[in-house]
Amino acid sequence: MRQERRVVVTGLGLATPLGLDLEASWQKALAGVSGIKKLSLPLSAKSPVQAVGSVSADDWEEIKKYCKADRIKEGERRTLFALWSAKEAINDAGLMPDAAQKVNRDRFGAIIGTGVSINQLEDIHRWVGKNKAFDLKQFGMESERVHSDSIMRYNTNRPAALIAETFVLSGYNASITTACASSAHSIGTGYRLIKRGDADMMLVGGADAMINPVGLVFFVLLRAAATSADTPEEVSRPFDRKRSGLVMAEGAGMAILEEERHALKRGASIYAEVAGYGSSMDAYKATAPHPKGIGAQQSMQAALVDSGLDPDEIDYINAHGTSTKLNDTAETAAIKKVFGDHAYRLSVSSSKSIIGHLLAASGAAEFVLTTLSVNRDEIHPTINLKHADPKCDLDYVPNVKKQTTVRAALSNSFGFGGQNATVIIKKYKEDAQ
Amino acid sequence: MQDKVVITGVGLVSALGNDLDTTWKNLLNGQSGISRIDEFDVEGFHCQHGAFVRGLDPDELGVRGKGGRIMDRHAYMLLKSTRDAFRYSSIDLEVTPPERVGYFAAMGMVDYHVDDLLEAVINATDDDGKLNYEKFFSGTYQDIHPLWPLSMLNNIHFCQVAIDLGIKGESIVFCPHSPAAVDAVMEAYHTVLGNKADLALAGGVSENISPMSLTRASLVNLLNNGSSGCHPFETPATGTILGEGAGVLALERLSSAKQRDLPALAWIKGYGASFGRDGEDCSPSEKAISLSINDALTRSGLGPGEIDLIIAHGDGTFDGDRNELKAITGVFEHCIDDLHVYTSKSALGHSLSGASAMDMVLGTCMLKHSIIPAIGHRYEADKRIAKNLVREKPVSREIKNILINSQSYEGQCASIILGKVE
Repeated sequence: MRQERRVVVTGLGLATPLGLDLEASWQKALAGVSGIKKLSLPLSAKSPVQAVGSVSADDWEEIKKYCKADRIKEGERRTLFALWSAKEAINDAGLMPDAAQKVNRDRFGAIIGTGVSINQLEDIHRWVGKNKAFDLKQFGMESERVHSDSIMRYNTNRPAALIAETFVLSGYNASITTACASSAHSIGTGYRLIKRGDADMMLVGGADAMINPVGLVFFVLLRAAATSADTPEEVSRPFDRKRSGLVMAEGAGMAILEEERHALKRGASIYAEVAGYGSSMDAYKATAPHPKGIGAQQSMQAALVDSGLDPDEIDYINAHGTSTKLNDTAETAAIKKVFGDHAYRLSVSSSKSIIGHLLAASGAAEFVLTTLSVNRDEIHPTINLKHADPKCDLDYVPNVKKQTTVRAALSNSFGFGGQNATVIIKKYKEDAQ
Repeated sequence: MQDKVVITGVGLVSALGNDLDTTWKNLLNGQSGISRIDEFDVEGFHCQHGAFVRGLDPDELGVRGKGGRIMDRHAYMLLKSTRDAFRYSSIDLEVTPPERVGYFAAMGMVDYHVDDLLEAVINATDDDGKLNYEKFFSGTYQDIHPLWPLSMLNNIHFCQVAIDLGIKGESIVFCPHSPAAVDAVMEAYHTVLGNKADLALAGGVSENISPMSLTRASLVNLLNNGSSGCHPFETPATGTILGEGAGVLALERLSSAKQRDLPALAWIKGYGASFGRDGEDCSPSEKAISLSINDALTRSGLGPGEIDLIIAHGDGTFDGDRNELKAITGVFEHCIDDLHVYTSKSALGHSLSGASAMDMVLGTCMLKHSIIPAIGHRYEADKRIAKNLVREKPVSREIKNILINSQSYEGQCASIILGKVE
């Protein structure tokens, strides 16, 4: 009888407001150190959004130093975040092209989640004439002069392409855009590819960078952003009664998923096992999640069925937890519906309270942190949780980390439009099925 | 024995018609959907031709209210073709629970309409003509419609279609070039094969042809600036022409189709996907394309000699055609005499994320009718493949297996094999 293929995590990489080093970032997350700071983008003193999770200037310089001139020319900010965290994950897994034992790179692929591409207004402003009309003819004649960060210069599959080219990943290569669920869908799809035998190793994750003129008003227009003038570190407060919206952040998260026997054969260190994945659509409204979290329930249930785990085997949920009024109550309702009484026994926390909302990269960064929770039996807190919301009455690990056995954990990601994805990670045991 | 995954419904919107029958008829009649662009002032642009989808009226499609504010032409194409596939496959959500119907699509880059942002930009411009972001942040950003951001998320357009049809199963949006539609069909295939859904709709839609999409393609020298056509495998290559369109397939297990008493239009036999490029080429390398084709052959259990027809990517670009031609002539070296090669781009333009999905839909027609449309003959094709191309008039022949190729402009490629269900 053919043995079922199992999928394990053998490498992790991050580039987030907490830094570029995995271990240091994890320790900061456990300590509840916020990565949210006051906005420092030039000419943005009057931006309605002032609290953001930026990759620090020093870290950005380090990324550019690593990426070198040719990649900087070819890749915009999100692509460089992706390249850095891919390098970290591949290195962590011992799969660098020149360092790895001989592995078949035709069986090594990449799936990267990316987000919105428009980021500035210069491409309109440059061709507005004195008559206050856009000069389309002139634009056409001079189109090679579009801005260096223009949407017209970068395809959404550029991060996946440059990663594959840099690290010689010749297998399956795809890009996913499902808003804030993009990278969770990437992880789930990579997991399935390996499980069904279409690949042995997959680099999966996501990258996003919307701290730019368009991005700063994007979620304000949608009335989803926190515009609070409070201390920046305290603005992202998922599940708190006084939460006021999402806090935008930037960066990337990457993981190496690998077929178990392939990993064992080459002596790789295994963080955890990917046990299940599910996705769903709300088919409700483009502008809001279903108030009872029907789609979220369905996504979690599908992942549980896929994993073969009972709901009470889940010890931790890394929530989507955006700090918006609608998401946090709907997600809480969905967790209660799926887990029943066990919902009150398991731990729930939101990484977004610490690192902000990495948008298309959020599911990947949170997958990395959730994997570490399963590996280390530690759960980072939900910080800034000070005012109880009667509709959010679970154990959100408020403000202080928790040390507890994490047999299995579930990570939720829900995208605008109603696309939901859930990934389940469990402790790896060599002989377990 | 493992079940097969078959196609039981199709929907197509193209520059040659807003439904499959019209497009197919026009293709067989040798018509081209490529014309001079008149949707916007194209005078300043190097390439002035495209294959536009025309006449998709949102009112007729029943798109109103917020949906109309969010959705754009590419969303209407996806909506129409998904509805057509849904109906073709007689999907009834009273019978099949909406949670058991999956949806997977490829979508392209989402470009903005200048008019949506122009007022905010003008009002943020100082008297000296400089763009003042402080003004923008202080309030002129509010001149942008509050729903505009949603229109910039391509999955929102996809979700609007899911809302319209009421489908709630597994879903993903891949992007932004032709292989993404093969990725979408692959995931739909495994979703139904693995019993995570009873049915799945899968395909792709192009981005809108716009000043931005023309510029994006022009910046990497993809377009044919010199003439009005897209001439696949021309020697020398002259470039591609952008097209619009969407193709959607309804997939289910063969056992399910039999239970529902539905004829299977085609059987999805195999697929392959890979990455690789040479130097600064943006198209995938010969090696990558060969790997993708060989993987598809291996998965299908077919030898090269069992492929009757290749619907090539054949976009008319220098790198793209050169590498694909080398891959085809390499993999099929010993059986090339019996092989026909077709490409839809001469008639429909290159619909990027919609292209391979449209080719899959057209492939089901070729299997059904045993006929291959002609791609036209008013140019000189590379002699290594000229005899295989269907040039002057449609060719009637028995077709059992079709290989469909797709390539991105970043180095990704994917192939899929459709077979006739006996």
